[in-house]
Amino acid sequence: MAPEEAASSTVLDPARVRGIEREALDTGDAGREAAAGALFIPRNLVKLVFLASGVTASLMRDEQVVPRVEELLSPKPGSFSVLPSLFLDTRRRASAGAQVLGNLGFAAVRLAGGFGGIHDGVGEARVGFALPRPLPFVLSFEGLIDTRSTLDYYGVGQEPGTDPRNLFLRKAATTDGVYFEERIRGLVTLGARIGQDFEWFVSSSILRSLVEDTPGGGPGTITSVFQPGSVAGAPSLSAAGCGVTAAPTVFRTALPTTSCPASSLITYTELAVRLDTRASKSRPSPGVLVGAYGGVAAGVGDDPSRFYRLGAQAAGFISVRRTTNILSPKLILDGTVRPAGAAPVPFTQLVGQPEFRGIDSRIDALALVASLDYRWSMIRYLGPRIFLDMAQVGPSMGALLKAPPRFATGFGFDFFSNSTELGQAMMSFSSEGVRVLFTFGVPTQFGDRQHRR
Amino acid sequence: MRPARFVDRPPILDVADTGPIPLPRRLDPIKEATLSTAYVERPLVEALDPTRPPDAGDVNAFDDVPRSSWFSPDAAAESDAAEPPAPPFRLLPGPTVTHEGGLAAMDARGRQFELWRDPVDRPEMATGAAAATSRILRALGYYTPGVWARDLSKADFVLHDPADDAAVEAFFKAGPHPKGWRFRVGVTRWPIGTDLGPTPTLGKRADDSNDRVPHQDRRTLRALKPIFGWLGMTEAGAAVLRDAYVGAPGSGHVLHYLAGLGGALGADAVVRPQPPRDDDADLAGRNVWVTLGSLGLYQQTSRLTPKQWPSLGEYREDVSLDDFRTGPPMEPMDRLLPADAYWAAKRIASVRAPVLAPALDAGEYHDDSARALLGELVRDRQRLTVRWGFAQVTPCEVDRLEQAGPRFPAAVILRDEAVSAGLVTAAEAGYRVELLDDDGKPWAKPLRLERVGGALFPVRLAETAPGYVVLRVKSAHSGREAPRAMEVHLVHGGAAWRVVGIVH
Repeated sequence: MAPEEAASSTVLDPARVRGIEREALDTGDAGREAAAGALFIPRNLVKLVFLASGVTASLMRDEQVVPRVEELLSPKPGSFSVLPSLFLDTRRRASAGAQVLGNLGFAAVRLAGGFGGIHDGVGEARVGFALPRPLPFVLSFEGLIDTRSTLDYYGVGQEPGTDPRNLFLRKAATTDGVYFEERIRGLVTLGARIGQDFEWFVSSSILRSLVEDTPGGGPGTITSVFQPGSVAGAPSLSAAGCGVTAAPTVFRTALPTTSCPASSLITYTELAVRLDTRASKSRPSPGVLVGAYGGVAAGVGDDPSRFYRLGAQAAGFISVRRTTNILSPKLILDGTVRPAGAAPVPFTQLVGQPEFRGIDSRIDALALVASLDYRWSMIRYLGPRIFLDMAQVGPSMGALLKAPPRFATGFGFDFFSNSTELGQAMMSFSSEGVRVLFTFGVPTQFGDRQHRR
Repeated sequence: MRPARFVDRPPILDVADTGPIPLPRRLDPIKEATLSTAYVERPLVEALDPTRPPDAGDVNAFDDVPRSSWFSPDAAAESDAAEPPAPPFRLLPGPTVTHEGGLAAMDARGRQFELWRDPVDRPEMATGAAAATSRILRALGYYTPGVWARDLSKADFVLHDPADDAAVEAFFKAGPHPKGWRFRVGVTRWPIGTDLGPTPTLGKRADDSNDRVPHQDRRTLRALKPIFGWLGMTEAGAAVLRDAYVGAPGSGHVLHYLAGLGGALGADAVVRPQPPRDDDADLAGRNVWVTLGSLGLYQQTSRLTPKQWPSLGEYREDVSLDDFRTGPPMEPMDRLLPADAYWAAKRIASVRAPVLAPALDAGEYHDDSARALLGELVRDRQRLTVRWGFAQVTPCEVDRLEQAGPRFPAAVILRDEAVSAGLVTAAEAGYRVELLDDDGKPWAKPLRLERVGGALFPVRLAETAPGYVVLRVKSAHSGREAPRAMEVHLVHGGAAWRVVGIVH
């Protein structure tokens, strides 16, 4: 039917175009609206999380040299992005934050802040300079300050509860000590890729660490569990005059603590080399990964610390039936070596097992993680994986190999693009419990060891 | 259910969204972000949102889409497409956006084009499909650039230096072998004005003050589900929907095009025998649960596209419109409401043989049997799509309004579009008509009309009717009741009745 006349119009509001002066009323709408209201927060949380998407991932990868260095400069010069990030781990406090990512043309910049509670926060600034030619080359400067209030310390050894090196207080209510740590770190990294697959890094950092009882931690605080003086680098019990007067207080609040903070100031310089023959580091790809590192740490000022770090990893990525079905055995060995006569290594500087996907709760001078992953592609950009991890720690190689291993198994999904990882969802099971991890917009691997803690 | 109430005024036919605006910025979304939004974020958000999608926002009181920068029912967009390219072409720097790996060029008249080729193993498939569907989509009312299938040789280019020569050589080598000395090339008139990047399918352009309706709620975009289903457009990447700024900077406006059409008529869905690929592209179309459960070890096999007609894509006579989705999925398509589907079906039904035949001829298919088969398939799927769209609602329209005379009361003459289109016979059709006031209260007994004898049937309006009347009509075809009623809203002041609103 032809209209009676065409209305003359300028830019019209959609409601005027529709010509409805009173909307229809559907009795079913009220319930739906109420349900939508109840789901407002989770719905918008999801939206917030996904704002990070691929932009975050591609820029975050700037921290690595092996990926195509040209990607470092791919964002348009002068452009900045403000993006949220989310980290959920049943073993850690969930944190949410935001980051400013940008490209100045000659450098990539990242400013990040995160909040996980009144005593848990992180602030980080990174500036990376990259040259794709004649040799892929990266120079980055970083500053970090963070506070974490619910870190666990079970003691050293594979079985801390029975390890004679751990001196528990007789009246301790638990064998799991919790502590608070504040770190301020400056880091310079220089890296280059030689040839197609080989790269090296030299990094040097200075780290100021402050360890004390978790504010309000009650009977589970580290000084309430371990005998005074038995844990190097742990806070001590004292009523007043702790002797530490320059403790950083950026995030720490004025809540009373039961301990006298332990402070350390350590420089650490490391050389790391890596051979990675995989065509892609994000999606399943066959190849070999071999790496090793060695570094020297020395206390500054009154800090008497002096120790070395050594480690290596080897992994194979073997295709099964198709290129992107990858069976991957992996072995990682990390160690801290104290020269004869040197002061004990602060417990926060001993090696842990961040690659172990069960409960990463064991530390010692040596740590070994062996894993077997099978990862395959379900659809493009989404790959399920199943895995089995084994972890051991010990004061020496002999003790390490004799220690009863801990196992964890689980499954997960990796979200990735052709060039970068986008996120990971994982669930692991071990005799110590279940761990669930979800990351999005946060890289799950870093270019050098100094980022692992 | 209380009906809506319409304002007493004629329907808007033009939203006038082409006022001058400053040149908007060019959008260049990161592919990974787009994919994660489409495949992960949106399903999660939708699962957490039980509300119904709102009615389309670019619809007038007669449930039709008025003319806008998105839709031109009177084929206003044809003028630019009427003039074919005039070789020789001069190469322009920069990549092509409507089809990957093509050549940007300017013809002898100074107009810009993008030149692109068919897949090596499917000569004429993509170029023919783009040429044909650009004309069909334009007939539907969408803005599409002109697309032509041409046979070109090096002599059709003005080559300034060895780099130009090498670029043309590589371009020709990238596609099927030539017939004689001439290579089959798709020629797309693009950019028309200034290319602004892909049309966002969510939200609005913040820098376009003419853009008043969130794109996910535009019927023109929602309707692409049945339209793309009909035309076998299975991919909706950044090349397909493109925005362009036409006019001088500061005095121009944005037009929204369907530009990259090389994947139409099943060209993007061709199933080839494919060995496993490093980028997992071969996993598309596989059952993900089988892949998951078998740890990726079981190699699923797919139904391959016949090689008998290489110029035809994976385009078969059957299509499930309910399940049809593009890759990546488009938010507007997922928010398609029955009224949107019906509108799309009406538009599709309006494309008759005199339009279809020349459109398919524009595909310049050298294989007559392929051209004939394609014609059959397009018509089969058209009928299937129209039937599907009409089945979403009561497919009735107001044919005319007869005012009261000395001996007869006023009457609304309704037309059953399904009967008009020959999808059902008049003998199979029946109607239940409720006569309501604007609060939804009946003011007369409902009517039941059976075997009305044709596509048209009258509904009398008694003199005692209230000033605002809603006719709620529900059809039943072959005994099957329509899932939704349609409404005709009328007012009368004094002696004359006026239709003020239609709802499907």
